[in-house]
Order: sequence, then structure tokens, then C-alpha cells
Amino acid sequence: MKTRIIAKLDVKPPHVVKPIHFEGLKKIGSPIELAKTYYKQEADELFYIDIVASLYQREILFDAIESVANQLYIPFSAGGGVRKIEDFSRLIHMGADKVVINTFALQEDPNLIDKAAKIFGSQALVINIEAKKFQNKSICYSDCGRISSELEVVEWAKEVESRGAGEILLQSVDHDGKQQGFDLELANQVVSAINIPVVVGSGAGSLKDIKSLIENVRPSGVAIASLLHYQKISIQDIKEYLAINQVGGY
Amino acid sequence: MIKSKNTQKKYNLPKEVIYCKNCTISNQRPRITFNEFGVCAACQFSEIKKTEIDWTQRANELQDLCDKHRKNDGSYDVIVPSSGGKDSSFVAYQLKYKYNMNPLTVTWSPHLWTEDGFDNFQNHIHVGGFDNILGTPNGEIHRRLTKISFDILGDPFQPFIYGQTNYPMQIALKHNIPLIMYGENGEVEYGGNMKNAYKPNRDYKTDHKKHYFSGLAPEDLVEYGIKSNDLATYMSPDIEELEKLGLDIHFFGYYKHWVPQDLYYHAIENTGFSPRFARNEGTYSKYASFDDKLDGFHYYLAFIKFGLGRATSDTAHEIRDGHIDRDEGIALIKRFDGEFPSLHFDTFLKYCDITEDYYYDVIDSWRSPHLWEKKYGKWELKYPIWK
Amino acid sequence: MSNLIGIVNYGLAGNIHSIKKAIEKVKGNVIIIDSPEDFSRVDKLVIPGVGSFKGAMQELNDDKFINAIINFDNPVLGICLGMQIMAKFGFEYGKTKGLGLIDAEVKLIVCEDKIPHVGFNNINVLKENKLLKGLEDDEFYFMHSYEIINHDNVVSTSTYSNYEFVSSVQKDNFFGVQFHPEKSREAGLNLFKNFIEL
Repeated sequence: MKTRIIAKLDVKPPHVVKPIHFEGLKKIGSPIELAKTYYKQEADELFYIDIVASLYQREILFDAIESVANQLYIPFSAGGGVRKIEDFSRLIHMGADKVVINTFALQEDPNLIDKAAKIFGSQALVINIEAKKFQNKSICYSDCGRISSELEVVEWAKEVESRGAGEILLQSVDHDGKQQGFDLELANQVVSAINIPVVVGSGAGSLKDIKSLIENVRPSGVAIASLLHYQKISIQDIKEYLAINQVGGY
Repeated sequence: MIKSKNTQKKYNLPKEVIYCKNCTISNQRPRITFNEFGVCAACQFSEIKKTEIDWTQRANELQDLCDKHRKNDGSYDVIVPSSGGKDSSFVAYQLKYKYNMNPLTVTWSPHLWTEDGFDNFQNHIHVGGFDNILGTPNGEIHRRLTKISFDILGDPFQPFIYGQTNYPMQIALKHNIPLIMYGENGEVEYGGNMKNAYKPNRDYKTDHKKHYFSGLAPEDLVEYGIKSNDLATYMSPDIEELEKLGLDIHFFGYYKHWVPQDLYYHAIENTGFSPRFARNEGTYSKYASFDDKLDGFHYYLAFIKFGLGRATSDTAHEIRDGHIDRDEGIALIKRFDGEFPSLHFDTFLKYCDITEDYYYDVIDSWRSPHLWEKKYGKWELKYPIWK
Repeated sequence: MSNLIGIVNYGLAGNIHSIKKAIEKVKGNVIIIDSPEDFSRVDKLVIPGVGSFKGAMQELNDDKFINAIINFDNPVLGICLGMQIMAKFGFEYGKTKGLGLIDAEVKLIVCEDKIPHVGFNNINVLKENKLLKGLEDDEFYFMHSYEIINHDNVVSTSTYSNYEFVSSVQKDNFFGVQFHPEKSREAGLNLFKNFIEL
């Protein structure tokens, strides 16, 4: 299986933004335009996360998500601020293949995972983990990497798997936006602890970083934001590079 | 029971609470003014910054200032009072690498350093690449002054503010460096006295006691049993000496359009800065002001005195800078403003050698009935912005 | 000539919008079908698929779709779960009876790698088929943990982790694809074009 190359949009509607360490709201561009661009670049998938919906305790802005979904004929995962079954069904009905959830499941009621898995199937359920190193442990954070929880990352990854999650998006608060490489150690710990697919994000700064991640960790997918948003390379560049180096199934 | 401090009278606060139509600040912030459209001075100034100021012209003025002071012989030609935070590292970086100055960063030690704060302080020296002088006052005196300022002002932060204001001037004199460059002029940027809005510098002879020291200057502390010799570290140098030096205190915010979030990105990329391990208590943000374990108590007191907590200050400038809108700001204030800074509470009580009861008695003496009421045994703001 | 395609809407579990969008992109005419009575209006059917086998059969039963589908004479395209329910039985959350249109069972994939099988993969077309015409070398997007086990109606297989499974079937007017053509870029859009032209 080829490793999926995934474009990640961190959105504060109506803009795609690019925080560093999950802080800051630097504007990158229009979600629709960026979605179109990355689709044309042959992204295997697009992630759209409304990064402030939980922090601001605001309802999901469904129209904004639908307008992005309409641009795509590739898998589309959407989330941010998901709190109830109705949120799942609305997002799926408007074209999301998978629904991404973190804060509510982590901090309020993980049972929502079980319920959603039963109704929509595990494959429709992505748990977003915002991992932060604190006192030598990797802890799960919420609300756009600002509020810590009691749970360690590997522990939570195992728990959500047993509750029926179909996939994990593993992000690192310490590495995100820095473009200095992924947290390979953490990624390995998570990938080896569970059986469901893991998409690893946070830290892609070069083609080498992506190659290194795939070689060392063999994740199901790689989520990329800054490197694409700042137009340093395209997705085709990545796939070509991986093919030349015979990495990731390319 | 501690006698009420009569906050309203002391700060001359209006009886009715009115919020700015544009941002989230209220008329309870001392010295703030509103125009006939209900827009506060800080927002008005923010508009002016965006539309009327010729920043190219301002940059030229900075170039001229630097050309005038640059020594080019290895000795320092400008002092940048610095915590290692995003603001001061930006100023030092720009002066050194863009304007070819030789800055000396001068740090007045926090009362109690946080781990994240100390790392950033170290990184700005080692990654940003600056010479630094760290001034740490006599710890025993500093503790006593902290307690006294808490007793009198409800704010333990006063000794820090003395040093932040006066220590750079002492170093300026000792090293013969007339130019001091601060970050932004807080009064001007955040809605205080706007008289210096179009001036690049501040008057070190007159502004301090009222604007920066809340009416309690270091020399006043002899009344509380501190020897005047022990207060020397906190004092402004002799005015005549400063005049002879030709002291000139400038604000970088006059020369460059000041957007705190932009400085955050700059600091990450250039001076080894990292945000706090989680959001600051009392707000949602994690990129500003977290080097001192006592920070939280300073902001908390402002919340008690004026009903304006940390989330209020953060949202106000983020609205002006266009990162969030007013409704989002209100939602964040509702969620976080006035949150008690419990993480370092025990540390603080031990440091000042006070009990929890005493702490709350002091705090409560600053609650004005025009802002606060008790409901079901709990203090509540009468007119929070989200009501 | 009218060539109206109806997408069966069976409650919570269908990702109808994406399919509708894709068919319209290749100039198809689409309506959403909420009740079995609407079947008489359309010339072709699409049965979408995101959810569980058990949940899907429950919904179809509640909405009284089952007989209408079984008795539909014109081309029907089942996508992912929509294909799987054409089987006799499904084994997600216990044993559930399917539509019984093809002699097959749906079971959890057991292989060396992680499931679900997610991502773009090739198809190995075993016999000529109008639906997959011209698409033999293309990649399609898969997302599933369960596979259909069938011998007589296999049109294509795919391989994941050294494990070969059925990726499309056909029996009479019933077509099924394990992958998601609405998520498979141009290749998927071309599949819908083929379906329109059937």
C-alpha cells in the first residue's frame, strides 16, 4: 500500500491559517482555493480541521466545510468542534468521508466514540491526538493544543481503538509548524501500540523529513501543512521523490 | 477583615460600566477614553496605525536614530530591556541584524522564574545571539518588597515593575549608553494615556510614579521598614546624571507597526522562542508573559480591580489586529477571564509568608461594589461583557 | 432518452452528497430517493455505503427498500457497503441477513497489515466489464475493514498486504464496487460515466 500523502488545512473560517506549536493565526489563504490546489497536485486526501471551534465553544460552521467538500473527488476528513452524533451525520451527508474529533471525546465524553463507531462504522471516525511532551511524558492536549488532559498519548490511542475509532491523526504540539522534522519516537510508539491506521503530521520541513518518517515509522499516511502552504514543494514533488528513493510504496 | 480600598475612587473609575463597541475593553481601564461612537482610544489608535501612519517614514526615523547612536567599535550602543520574551527579542534582533547596532540586552530577573520562561531567556541569548546582563536583586529584600506591595496594592508585582523601569537606566549610566529601546508603549497601544502616541520616546523625569508605579514609588517604601540603602537597586538613577548622559528612552512600537502575534512568529523563527506548555491561566493564549510565577497574580488583581482579566487584554488586541472578531473575543472572555491562577498559588503564599485567608482578604478589599456583587456566597461581576 | 439515476437514501449512513456531485460532474442526472415509490421514476440506482452492515440492513428494512431493490430490473451500482449488502450474510456485529442478490458473505479482513484497508490501490480486472471499461490500469480509493467473499460474480480483485480480495462484482443488472469511485479522482468520475452509458 502506498503511504497516503495528505494535505492538512487548519482552518479558522474563512481562512486557512498556520499556527506554530498550535499558537498564532497567520493567514494562509482561502480553504476552497487551497483545497482545489492540493486536489490538482494529486493529494491522496484532504484534512479540514476547524481549530478554534472547541476553543471558542462555538458551533461547527457547516457551510464552510461543505464548500470545500464540493471541490474534491478525493477522500475528505473534516472536524473541529464535533460534540454529538448529529455533527457526524451532518458532516458525512455533506461529503466528509471521515469525521475528525479530539476535544469533546478526550475531555468530556469518550463514549461518543463508541456510539459514532456503531452508527457510522469505524472507518468514518478519526481521532485527532495533539501530543505534547510534558515532564518526560507525551500527554494528550485539547482546544488547539492549549489544555492538557490526564491521558498519555499511547494510553489514549489504545483506548480509542478499543472504543471503535478507525484511524488516528497524530500531531505534535512541540513539532507542529516548525518544519524541523517529525517526532519519530512518538510516532513509532503509537504505531506499534495499535492496529488501526495512523496518519502522522507535524514537522514536515523537507522531502528528507517525509522519507525519514516513512522509512522509520511506516505510517498509513503523512499529513503535511506548512511545507505545502508556503509553497516550498508540491505533492507531486513528494511522490516523485519517494518513487526515486523507492520509499512508501511509490 | 481588611478595610476596603475604595478602588473606584482611587482610580477614578466611572460608575457605569461601558464596553468599547469595537474591542472588549471597558471604561474601567484607568486613563482610557472613548470617542462619541463608543470606540476606545486603543482601537482608534489601531485604526490610525493601519491607515494614517507612514511606516516607511517611521523606519527612516529609526534609521536616523540608529545612525546617530551607532558606535561601530565593539562597544554597546543601545540597551534593550529584555525578558527573553517575544517582544524584547524582536527589538534586539531588529536592532542588531537590521540596523547594525550593538545592543546590550538587560534583564531584570523575574521574582520566580518559570521553566518555560527561563528556557526562552537562555535561548534568546544563545540562539538569538545577544550579550546580556541579568540583574537579580537581593532575594531577601525582594521577598519583603513583594509582600509589602501585595499588602498595599494587592499586586505582588510592584518590585518587578520598579526594576523593569529603573534598572535599564542604571545600566545605561554605568555603561555610558544613552539610548534605551523598549518594545511597545503600553499606555498608547492598550488604551491608557494617549499623550505620547505620536512621540517615539518617553519622559523619564515625570511619567513614572503615576503611570507605572500606581502611585507607590520605591522611595516611598522606607515607610514600611525597608532601609533606603536596600532600595538603591530599585531606584531611578539621579536625574541630573541621566541628563548629562543624554538618556533617551524610545519605543520600537513607534517605529514599526506593532502586532504581537507577528512577533511571536518572529521569535520562534529567530530567537529560539517556545510558547508556554499550555494556555496561560485566565486566558486562551500561550505566547505572552509567562516567565514569572507571579504573573498570574498581577493579572488576577487587574481582574478584581477593574473587571478586566487576561483574556480581556488578549482578545482586545487580537481584535484590533484582525486575528479574531468581537463575538469570538466575548466567547473567550466568558470561558477564561478571571480564572484563578492556582498553579503557583502555594508557591506564592510561601514566598510572601501569608495564609490563604489573608490573600483572599486582601484581594476582596479591592473589589468595588460598583463592579462586584455576591450571589449564593460567590463573587460575580455585575456587568460582564457576555451578559 | 431519460437516464435518471437515483441514489438510495437510507437514513444516517449514506454519503450521498459526494456521489451526487460526482455523477453531476460527468453530466449525469441524479435524484435522491427517500422512498421505494420513487424507484419507478428512475432508470438506474446507486446504493451508497458508509456505515455498518447491520445498521444498513436495519435502515433499508425500516424504510421498506429491500424488496424494491431486489425487484429492480435496471442497472444498480452498489458502492462499498452498498456492494457488501448485496451478499447473503454479513458478520459485522453478529450475523445479519443481506439482500441475498449474490452468493457471498461479508467478513472481517484478516491479513498481516492494519485494517481498515485505506488508500489508493489498483484493480486486477478478471473479465471484461462495461462498468470498468478503460479503467483497468487506474487506482481507486478504498476504505473498508470487511471484504466480500464470492467466487461466481467476481469482476476484479485487489491486493492488500499480500492478501487478495474481491474489489468488484456483477450479477445480471447488479454491479458492486468495494472502492469509492466518488473519491477516486478522474478514474472514479470515468466509472460513473461508464455507468451512465450502460
